[in-house]
Amino acid sequence: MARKTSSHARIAFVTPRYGPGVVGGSEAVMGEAARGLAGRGYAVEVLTTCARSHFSWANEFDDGTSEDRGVVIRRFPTTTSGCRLTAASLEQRVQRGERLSPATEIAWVNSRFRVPELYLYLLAEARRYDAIVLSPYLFWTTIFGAQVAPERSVVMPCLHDEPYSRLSIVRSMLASVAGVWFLSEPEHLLGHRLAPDLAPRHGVVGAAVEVPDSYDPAGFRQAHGLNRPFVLFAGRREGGKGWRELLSAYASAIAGNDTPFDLVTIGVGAPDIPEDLAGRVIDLGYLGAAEMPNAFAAAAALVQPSANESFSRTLMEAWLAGTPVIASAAGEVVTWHCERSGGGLTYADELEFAQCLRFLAEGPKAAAVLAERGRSYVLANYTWEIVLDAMEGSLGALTARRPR
Amino acid sequence: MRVLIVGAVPPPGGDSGLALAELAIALLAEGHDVELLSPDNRSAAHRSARLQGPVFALRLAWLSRRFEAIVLHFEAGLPVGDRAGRLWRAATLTLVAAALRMFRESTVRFDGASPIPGGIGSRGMGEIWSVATHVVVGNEEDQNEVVSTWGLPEERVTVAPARVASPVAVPRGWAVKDAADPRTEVLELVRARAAHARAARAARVALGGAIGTPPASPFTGERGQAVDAVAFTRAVLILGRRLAARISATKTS
Repeated sequence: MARKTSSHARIAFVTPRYGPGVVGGSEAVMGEAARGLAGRGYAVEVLTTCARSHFSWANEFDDGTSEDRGVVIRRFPTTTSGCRLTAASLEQRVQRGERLSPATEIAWVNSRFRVPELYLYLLAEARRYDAIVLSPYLFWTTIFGAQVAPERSVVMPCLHDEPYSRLSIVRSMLASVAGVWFLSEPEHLLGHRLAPDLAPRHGVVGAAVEVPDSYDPAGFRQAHGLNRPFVLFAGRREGGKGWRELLSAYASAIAGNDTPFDLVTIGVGAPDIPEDLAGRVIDLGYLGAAEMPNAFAAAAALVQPSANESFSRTLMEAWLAGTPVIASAAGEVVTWHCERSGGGLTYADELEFAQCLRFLAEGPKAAAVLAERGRSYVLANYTWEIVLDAMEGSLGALTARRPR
Repeated sequence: MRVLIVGAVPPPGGDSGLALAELAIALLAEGHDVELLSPDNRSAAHRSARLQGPVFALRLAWLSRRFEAIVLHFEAGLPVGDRAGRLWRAATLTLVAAALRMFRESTVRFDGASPIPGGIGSRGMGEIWSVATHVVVGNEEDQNEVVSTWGLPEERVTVAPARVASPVAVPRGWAVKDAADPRTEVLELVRARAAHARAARAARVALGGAIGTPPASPFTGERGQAVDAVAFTRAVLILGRRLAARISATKTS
């Protein structure tokens, strides 16, 4: 792959979390894109916080500067202050979809966590960067960071159709920045719906996943004592990611028919497995990057119950591992991927979910055909070579437009 | 589960008979073994017989060895004839109640015009209501009456609609013929099967079949059968004593 001519540009990636133990699609894409562009000759810095958990926002990493695989990491401490009752009240108002004034919306953003030092750093140093990429849309780091130098800011919003995305400050941010990167076509369309005056320089760059050299499904099963076939849920075990709905659908499936599949989950967040499912739902907790591909390869299918996805990396990782996907039809993006690739089934309710499991058990050959289509789809669209080319194209146009 | 459905099933037609047939279809679709027992020998039931009086109750008790669940439809002539006197009615209902107790699950349907003098509020029905694990009535008025008169928990009493749609058959297997678009083909099968299961579930719920719920009764298993046999014998003895008392009182007067 020939390197692009703009390889001496200086890029800042602003993300609320970065580093080991951080689970999140946006954070993963930002980290990998930063390292990928650094590998192509860009001078890349990651501006982030000291937080690992997106619940507590506690400062778990040391602040200061370090280096990670060719990328300079600058960490700034978070502060959480203010009245918790007020914060909870604001959160409720946002969730209810109330029409809030911009000042109240900002108060809501401020009520979660703040990173004043990061903001001050950007005020002082923004001009040193040719482009500042910020993601995801709903955090302080992006909302405030994008205001410092909008003419050189690119927001990768990772939009979901949810109350937060309908805030006026999000709309004005998407309109005022120099560029917007979407990860999929449905997210792009959602962006137009949410922000009719979307920044003219926007497009779908996609996201990518690393292609492992090999997989060891048998070793994974042995290491974790998994003797029965299983379907896998990978990600954050929380309401917004459909975890509870999945538990409910799975309970209904095993009550209604004799599915041979256990449900194995990996990721962060308390899984809160009901007692009556304790023997069938197995939590392996957070796995390191080296083990993740083997988990996908060992599973009979990946289950993606989340409707709030702007890309869904786990789908790609499963398909790459030759594993079919069963996804909630409520997720516009995952449905789009399944339809385009022909590699996944979508379910509208618990009964359809149960039938998908039956299909896996009774039609393994057909399931393998779906998985193969999924793998071809990922290799054709979502390798880092392809996605970095798209990002470089966008950055090149952005930096060429502006006198340095 | 092995389910016995007792009532007039078509042919000939009639809404309640069709509803019973649809219930049978739904239960079969869910994988249960279903047998139909009809009072009308013109029907398509597995078997037909005279389903009246204490003999019918004894028949039910006998059949309880082969079936885990029963759906008993109260209708004209079933389980008591039009001309049955009070005593006969009471004896029949008491024995039927004892026989119902011998099934793991018993659904009593009472969704037409009342075939029992005194209706669902009559004293003889009390024992039936108390033993049935599920009760289906024809309208909300009857539901309220059963709940208020007999103190049944509301969740045990449902109102059946006149008719529900039958689930349609779905193809077996997951063979994919369309190599160009296997996903769509599989997805169509998933949806058709789910629709089938959904219709079966809806039919079962709407028609009041409590089949498939975990047994709540202590009268289950081998021990339960022994207990049931004792209960049945006790019921017969109580009935005998009542009969004797009634005869004695008549003689005295």
